[in-house]
Amino acid sequence: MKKWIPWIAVLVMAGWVISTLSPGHPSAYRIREFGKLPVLLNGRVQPFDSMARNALLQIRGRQTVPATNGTLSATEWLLEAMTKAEEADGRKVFRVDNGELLALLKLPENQKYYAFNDLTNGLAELDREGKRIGEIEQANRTVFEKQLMMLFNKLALYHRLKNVLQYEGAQSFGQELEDYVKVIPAGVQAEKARSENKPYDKAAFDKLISYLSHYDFMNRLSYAMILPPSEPGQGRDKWSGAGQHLMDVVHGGELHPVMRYYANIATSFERNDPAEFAKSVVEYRVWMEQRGLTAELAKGSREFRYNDLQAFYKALVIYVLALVLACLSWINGAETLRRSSYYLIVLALILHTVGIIFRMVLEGRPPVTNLYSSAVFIGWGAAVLGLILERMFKDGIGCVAASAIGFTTLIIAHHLSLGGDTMEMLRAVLDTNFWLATHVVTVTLGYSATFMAGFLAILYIIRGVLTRTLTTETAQALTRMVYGILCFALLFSFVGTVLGGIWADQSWGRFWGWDPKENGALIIVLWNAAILHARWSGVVRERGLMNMAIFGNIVTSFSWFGVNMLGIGLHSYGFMDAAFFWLMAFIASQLALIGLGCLPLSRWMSFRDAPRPTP
Amino acid sequence: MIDRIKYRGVLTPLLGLCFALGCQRSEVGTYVVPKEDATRTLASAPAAGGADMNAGAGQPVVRWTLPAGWFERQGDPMRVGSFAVTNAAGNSADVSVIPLAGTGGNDLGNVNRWRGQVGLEPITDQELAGLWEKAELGGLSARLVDLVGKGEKPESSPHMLAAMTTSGNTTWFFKMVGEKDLVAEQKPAFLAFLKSVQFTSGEPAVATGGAGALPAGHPPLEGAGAPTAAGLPAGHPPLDAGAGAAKALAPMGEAVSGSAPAVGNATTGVTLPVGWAQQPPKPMQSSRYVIKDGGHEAEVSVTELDGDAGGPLANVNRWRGQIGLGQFSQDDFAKIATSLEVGGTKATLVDLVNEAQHKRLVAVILPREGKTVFYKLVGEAALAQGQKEAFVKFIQAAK
Amino acid sequence: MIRSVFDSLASLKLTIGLLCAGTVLVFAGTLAQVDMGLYAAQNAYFRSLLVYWGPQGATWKIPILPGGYLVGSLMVLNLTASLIKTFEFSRAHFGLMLSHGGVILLLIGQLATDMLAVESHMRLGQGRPSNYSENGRDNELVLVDITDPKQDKVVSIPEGRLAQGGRITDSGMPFTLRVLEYQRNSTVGFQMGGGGGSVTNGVAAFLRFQKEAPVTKLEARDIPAAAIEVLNGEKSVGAWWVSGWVEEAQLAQSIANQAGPAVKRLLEQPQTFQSGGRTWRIALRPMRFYKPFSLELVKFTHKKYSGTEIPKDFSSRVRLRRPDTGESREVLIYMNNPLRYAGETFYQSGYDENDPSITILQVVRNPGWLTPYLACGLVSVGLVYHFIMHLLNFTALRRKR
Repeated sequence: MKKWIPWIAVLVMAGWVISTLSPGHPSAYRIREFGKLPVLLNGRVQPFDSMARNALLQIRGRQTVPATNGTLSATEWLLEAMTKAEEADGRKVFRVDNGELLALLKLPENQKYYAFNDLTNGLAELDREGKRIGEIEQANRTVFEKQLMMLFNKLALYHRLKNVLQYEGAQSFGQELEDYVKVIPAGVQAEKARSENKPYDKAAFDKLISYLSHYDFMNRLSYAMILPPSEPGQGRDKWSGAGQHLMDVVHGGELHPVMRYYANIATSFERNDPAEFAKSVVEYRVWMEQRGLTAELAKGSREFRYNDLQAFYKALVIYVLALVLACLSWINGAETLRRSSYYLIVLALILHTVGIIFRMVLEGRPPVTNLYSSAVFIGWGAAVLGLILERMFKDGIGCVAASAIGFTTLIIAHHLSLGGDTMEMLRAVLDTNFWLATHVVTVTLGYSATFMAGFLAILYIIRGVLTRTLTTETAQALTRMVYGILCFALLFSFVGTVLGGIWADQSWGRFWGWDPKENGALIIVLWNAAILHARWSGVVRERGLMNMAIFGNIVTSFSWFGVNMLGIGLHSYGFMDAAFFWLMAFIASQLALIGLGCLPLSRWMSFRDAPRPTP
Repeated sequence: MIDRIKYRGVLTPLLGLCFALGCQRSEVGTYVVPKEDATRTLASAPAAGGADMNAGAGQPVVRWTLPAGWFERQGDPMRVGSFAVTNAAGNSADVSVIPLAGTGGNDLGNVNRWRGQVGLEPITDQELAGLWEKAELGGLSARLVDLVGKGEKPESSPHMLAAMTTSGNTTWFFKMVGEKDLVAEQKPAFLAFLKSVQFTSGEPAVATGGAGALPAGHPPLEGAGAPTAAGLPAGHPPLDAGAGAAKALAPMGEAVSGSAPAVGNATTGVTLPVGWAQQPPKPMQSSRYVIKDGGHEAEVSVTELDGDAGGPLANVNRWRGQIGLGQFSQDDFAKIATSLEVGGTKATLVDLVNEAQHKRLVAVILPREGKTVFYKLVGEAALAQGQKEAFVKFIQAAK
Repeated sequence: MIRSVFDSLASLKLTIGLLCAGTVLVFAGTLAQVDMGLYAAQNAYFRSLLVYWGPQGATWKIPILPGGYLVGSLMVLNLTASLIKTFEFSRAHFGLMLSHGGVILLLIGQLATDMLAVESHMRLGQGRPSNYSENGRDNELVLVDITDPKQDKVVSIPEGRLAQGGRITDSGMPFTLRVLEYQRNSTVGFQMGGGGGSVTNGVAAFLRFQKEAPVTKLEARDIPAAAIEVLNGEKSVGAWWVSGWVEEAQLAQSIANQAGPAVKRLLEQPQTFQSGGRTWRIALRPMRFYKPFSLELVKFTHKKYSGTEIPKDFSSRVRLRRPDTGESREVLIYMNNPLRYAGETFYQSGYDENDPSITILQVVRNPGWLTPYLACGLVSVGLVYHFIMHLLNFTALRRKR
């Protein structure tokens, strides 16, 4: 029986993963189908679903909104905001934590999330403060000011979302569009006459003006381009925003057929008419297929499935479970628990890999393109290394390492995704070529390995100082692991750094530019080399090796994360304030562990009675 | 022994290399290159007035005259203009010109923000009404506040002059901030600077004010969605403008269709008459235009000279000589000279014709502070006569 | 004695010390870049023998860290010495020997690059051929003999020499120069009728230059100015203010925009003087590197991702013309695809936000460019070899258990 338990554990978790994939009760609204429809945003074709999830992550920090009868998916929330703004304004989606900010906006302090309606009183304040703070350089802003700007940006984003399909407050948009098209000739005549000081049709003129001012407003707020090119042969990237198009129509253009579909979708959602809604969604898809825009449709569907899978979130959960089981297996020595942990990590790693490959297919790029994907990849590399170690040593250490690093990096990745689209387009100079692709992968694996060595060293210190479980055999095993992984780390970080230099040489003629990110990679190489040379020469022994490896964690975290906070040089993308605090906390924790490791060996719990191994 | 040789053998060339290469850095070099023309033509009609090397795309079209002692500096992307003024004590003041979309926020908010920047308490609306001074900015009336603040030391309090005006879709902020006495001393220069500003044709593209995610031209969050009153949205071109070619928010100043395209001439800030083509000026001229019509040609030139440049008679006689006519006496001159009103000043106009050679020269002599400006229209007689009216209008409209 | 010095040079402890020192140095240098700017920090930390520090406002400085050159050259010596000392042909050591040899090659190659490489850029406007590239950070004072109608003889004095001040003589100039004032970075203002002082020729009649603190931001650069007096023996031919403000088209344009037509006209003319029957021009400009060929921009394409400002790709089609061989052909330069010609490489580097008909190419001359490739190869082969040997031993040991 015992030997089946690991398999059962895997089956249960796999079952959980699969169960979350099915759509549940089929929504009458075909919301999922709508979610797959493509738009052009941030320079790339993505489904409404991605736009909704990313926006909601930025505003609320979650991908769903709680409602009285369940939860709203991101797309449902988006549809509501786009067509039934009054209802959406009542949903508590805006996250505000800062006390001063709550006071400024006169908001009650006992909640985490606020609705747009709660914030309307403070809009004037926000506007004014936002302008004032906008003139201050980012580095000089106080915490309050940064939080205010974040809320300001969230409101601006929300505002823009509300005007993607139709302008905020529009009713029966489809009908209005038909009216608009009809009144254009008369209105244009009237304007011409008016400008020549002749008698003109005031009614037609006023009507046209009022339409135009709404569409102008839509155009200024333009966020995503929802109308695909009506002649794809002349340029597949010539999408347009709804507002922009409607403004162009007045100069004698045809109303885009897709505009009618969307108008109908908006109106039918507003009126709770699922049949009409579904009909327009399907008709639109057919229209795209007929025009040969199948690639865009496919991209929308594919990315929708990627979002739905939530591979990294699920892998994270399984890693946590595996970590618990592996730690338990140390406590009671049960082989079953260890094997269950091992199998679960394999399952998590499969999900992890599927997620990475899916991203590569969607982006058409190597697995590491920005900080988010590097975090994911570091976790993947560490998990693979951990599994290999587990297979060789079979003592649970590999499992603990793999699952711990796996889930930590995925949490970091999740927090990075709160900043917006993680699949944004990259600048031209980062176009894929062989050197760049190999450089990012190799260097990231080098980071993985250095973190892995550092984690194993932490295990050594904690188990040695605080428990009796650091037997000679375990100590020797850990030492060999750390040493072997450091060799691997040195190889990969050195080769990765040099590949990066070669890529730079090919791209702008300078192999080494002392850019902060380059410097960070160099520091890792130097430190890894220092550890190994110190070990070879006997300057340090086991305990010293472990301490130096933990210091390697500090070096790597600075190089991977810290350089982005310096905000200079060619590698600086994005700022992270909360991240700075966590980085400092992490460094402090590592220093504390090194301090622990420096305690005289006689004080180590594992070495008190037993004959001491060579320190 | 062998080690020693190996050791030295490696070290010496390395050091030698370092020395040889290191010394090459600060040597004078001589070489020969093919002939280069070091003269250049600088545009007198800037596409981006007052911009420096940090000018971003689509800078507003504005010009001014810098007072003496004001230094141009490299500004940041938000500023259209950035200057520094220093005094003997080593204090300096910073002057900035920043356009913002729409109304740029409400007045009370702006003033209280500025008050905060110099360490003063905010005020109420009623108090604000009494604080405004009137100033002239770019031909428009502007509002100015003069704020003396509280610094750490009473002698070095911060002093701010801030002026704002709205032109078209944009509100312009002109600010001077510096040490109390320096700014007080510079206030007249600042006011003169404001007066010298010219907003020329062309709708300025606007700095987004760094306001996070708000796109350019985003109305303030509280003012969402209110449709504008009767009339096209500000800056909207006529609806039938061109066969779909005009961009929807093109500047009002562009006439897209029609027979006589008016081209903005930013030197004088006025419209050039039809048929006048601007040409690089000849030596001594400040600007030059050529008019061609059916094989005949005429030229208009503008020249500035110090003082009275010899007096009107001497110049008129010079011109008479240029078109092959005899010399005038003072009386002859008095007979043909007519007076012309140009911007509040009396100018002298002469119309000289050489019938035999079909040459005509129409000139206007305009005295200015310490200088004289000469406007000359010379060329084929009939053509020049036809252009005389446009010529006069051009002079009267120029500043 | 030599033996013990040699032994210390070859010692492993020195290696560890140098590696640790390197780590600290690179870390400190990276942090310093925030305040000092990339360029200044590079020079202070990595292109120096020692890193100095002095308290704010004091005139004294003490060395606190070894600089990049010192650590680098000690590493080369240490590696070389240890290689020589432990040299043996054995399978076990082969991998490591190879790797360390590669590292030596890398370090020497980077040193050579640092000393020998020249980087500059070319700003090409459509239809305007150019036969030189410029270095934005280093400027030169040039005295150009323009008497000959067919060619110009240029005497180029590097900015560093101006900073030293005093008198400058050279066989290429029949006169002596005296540096009256030098400003690494300057601002310019109007002072009609001269700003006072002894220099009133040329642009000094209406412009006044004032010293400004050097820039630290990455995108900004210093605009220098200098007052130079020309002396024939002891007799003064004249004195002029020269500056990038006057010499560079965009900067001159920004001054002309705010001044009257008289100023504009003066700015359009070069500053010249006569000496010994010949006409000379004087100017302070970004350092130029002339080439025996010219490049002319035929077409510049710049695409952004739809609806964003993110550059998607940009490419320049240029025509290369070489008068002495009659060569004339078109080349396409785009991201990751440079033009390699006459020992220099031309990369598509950037564009002008304001003017879409301008392309900016980065020009690099680096004779040591091959060394990193060779070095990387050596080190990788060596490390992989060593790693595999280790792995084989390790698994053999485990199998024995």
